[in-house]
Amino acid sequence: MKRLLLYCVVLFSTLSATDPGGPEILNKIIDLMNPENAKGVMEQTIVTTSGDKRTFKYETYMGNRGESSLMRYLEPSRVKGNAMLMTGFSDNIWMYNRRTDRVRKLASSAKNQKFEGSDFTYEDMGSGDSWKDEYTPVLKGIEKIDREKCYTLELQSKSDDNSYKKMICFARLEDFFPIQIDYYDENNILKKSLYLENIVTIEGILTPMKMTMRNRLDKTETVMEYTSITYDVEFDKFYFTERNLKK
Amino acid sequence: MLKKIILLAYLSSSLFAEVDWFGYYESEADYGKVSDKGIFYGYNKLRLDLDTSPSENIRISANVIYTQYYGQRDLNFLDFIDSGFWPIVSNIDMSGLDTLSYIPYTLSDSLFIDNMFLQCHHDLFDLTLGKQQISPGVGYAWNPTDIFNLKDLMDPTYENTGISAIKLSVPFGYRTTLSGILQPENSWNETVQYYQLKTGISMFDLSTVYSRSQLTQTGLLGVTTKCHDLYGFNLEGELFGMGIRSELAAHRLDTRDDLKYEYIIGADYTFVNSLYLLTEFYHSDLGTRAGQTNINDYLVYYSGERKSLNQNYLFALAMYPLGDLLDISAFGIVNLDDKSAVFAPQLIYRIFQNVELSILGSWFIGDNTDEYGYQEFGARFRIRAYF
Repeated sequence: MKRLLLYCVVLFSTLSATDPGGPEILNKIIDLMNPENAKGVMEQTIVTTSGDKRTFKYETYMGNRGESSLMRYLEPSRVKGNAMLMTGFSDNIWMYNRRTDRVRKLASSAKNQKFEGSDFTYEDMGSGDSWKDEYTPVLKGIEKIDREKCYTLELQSKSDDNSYKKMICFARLEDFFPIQIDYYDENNILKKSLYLENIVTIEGILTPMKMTMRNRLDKTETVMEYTSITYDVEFDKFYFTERNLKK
Repeated sequence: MLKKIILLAYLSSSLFAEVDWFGYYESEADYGKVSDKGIFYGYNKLRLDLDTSPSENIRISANVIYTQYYGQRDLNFLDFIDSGFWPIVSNIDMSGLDTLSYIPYTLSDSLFIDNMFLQCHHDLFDLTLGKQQISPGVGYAWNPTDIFNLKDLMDPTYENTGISAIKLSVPFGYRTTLSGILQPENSWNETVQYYQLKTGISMFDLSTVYSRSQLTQTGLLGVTTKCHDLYGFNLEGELFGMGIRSELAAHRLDTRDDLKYEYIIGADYTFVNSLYLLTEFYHSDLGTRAGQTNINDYLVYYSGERKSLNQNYLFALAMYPLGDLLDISAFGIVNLDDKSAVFAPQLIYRIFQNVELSILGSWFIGDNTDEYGYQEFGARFRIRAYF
């Protein structure tokens, strides 16, 4: 009991009046993770339950601070040319199949499904700004994660409709950049953890070159790595449309 | 044909430095138990795609398909329907009537250019010239507003053969596009015209369609051709997290005829545990009423000139991922008019990154004279390797 008390004192006593509040930290995290525009090439490696590796490569375009995004597969051959468009922070999702030239709109009930069998859901890929509306941020304290002092920010779901009951973001004290996010399911069980690594500054913007999502329940893992990225890009106001999805 | 393909390959490799080559190899084996016969056949198929962009706004794409059949290649169309439907015709010396018991259908090896088109993107329009994929409609199993393609109900998402056409799309604002498709034929009257105005309102995509074409119907007594006007409407969106899809087509065959209606209403939903459910109800005034089906209806239906044999159908699909490499699914098609049905469970296993294996079984339920009653069961094994 004494040990627990000591742990709580160590954990929470580091918070001071000068520390920002939960909403402020969340705003900073969202700003950092959603630059105005971005264009890049990503490699996604899925480590399956059997230990096999499946690799996907795609072009990614993000606009309007994460409100809209477009992904076009480059590899493997099975999905080459297929594309996905998300607008409204993943409220609207369209999938394009190049071989049949058919576009299909996904219902929002599919948002919490695995994206191409990975450990990321469609919602994880494009939720961005929507955390502000859907979760209540509560600053829980300061913890050391991988030798870095981090704010422990708990995002508590405002509605039962959200995919996660809560999320815990560990954001670095020095720049508020999150290095780990834990996702809890509706039964409050830790479902998966996202690790943001190799954080470098590109064109003045902090960029995690590697993101690893570890599914704690299925024992699977998905690694997403940028092979190239630029923020110095402007998109036409009609770029994130079905028309461009089919190009 | 072979020379054309070699020329195409040569031109593409010499004119464009960066031609992207890809495709797949597919092998399929099918078995069907029909009344007292077992029918086994299959094919090996190679699809080779090339794709290049000589400049930022131009794309040239083409693919060739070689299909080689094996097993029972010479089929009798009448093996698939009850002998009660077999046609009665005059015998050779015109002295009396005989029941026709053989209408041949041969599965022939083929080598053809499936798609071959040039796409030009401009700020004001998108233009596609050549043999291309055209897939109107939002339905999964049926597309009443699609006059170009024939869908196999046992495999509705399988790719279609390209359509030789000119397609022009003009965007207006964020979600509105006006498209015109012309499929040139011998004369303007025979040329297929298809126009679509698509827009988006909130969570819904909506489109209106008008098309004019010639509808050819094949029967035992010959071929008839009618002028076919189609007025259509598509809706795709969601309500309370559930996907909603609907298509309506009003057909006017010859200017004097009344409108015939064909429509689907469908919904889909993905549960938190990843179970995916989809259902569609289909109605067509063009289908035959229950109990009035004859050999002509079967001929028109199997030749793809009509989307259904009868008038009312239900399609239901359930899909569930068993881990990250294996999907199990099952679908059912019910002919609501004659109360026959087919039930088909399927297993899809992604063996390797680019190799997919699927096994499908099918069980048919109904009387011998029903659409799905004459066949007993079937099985399909398919492996596809992409490169």
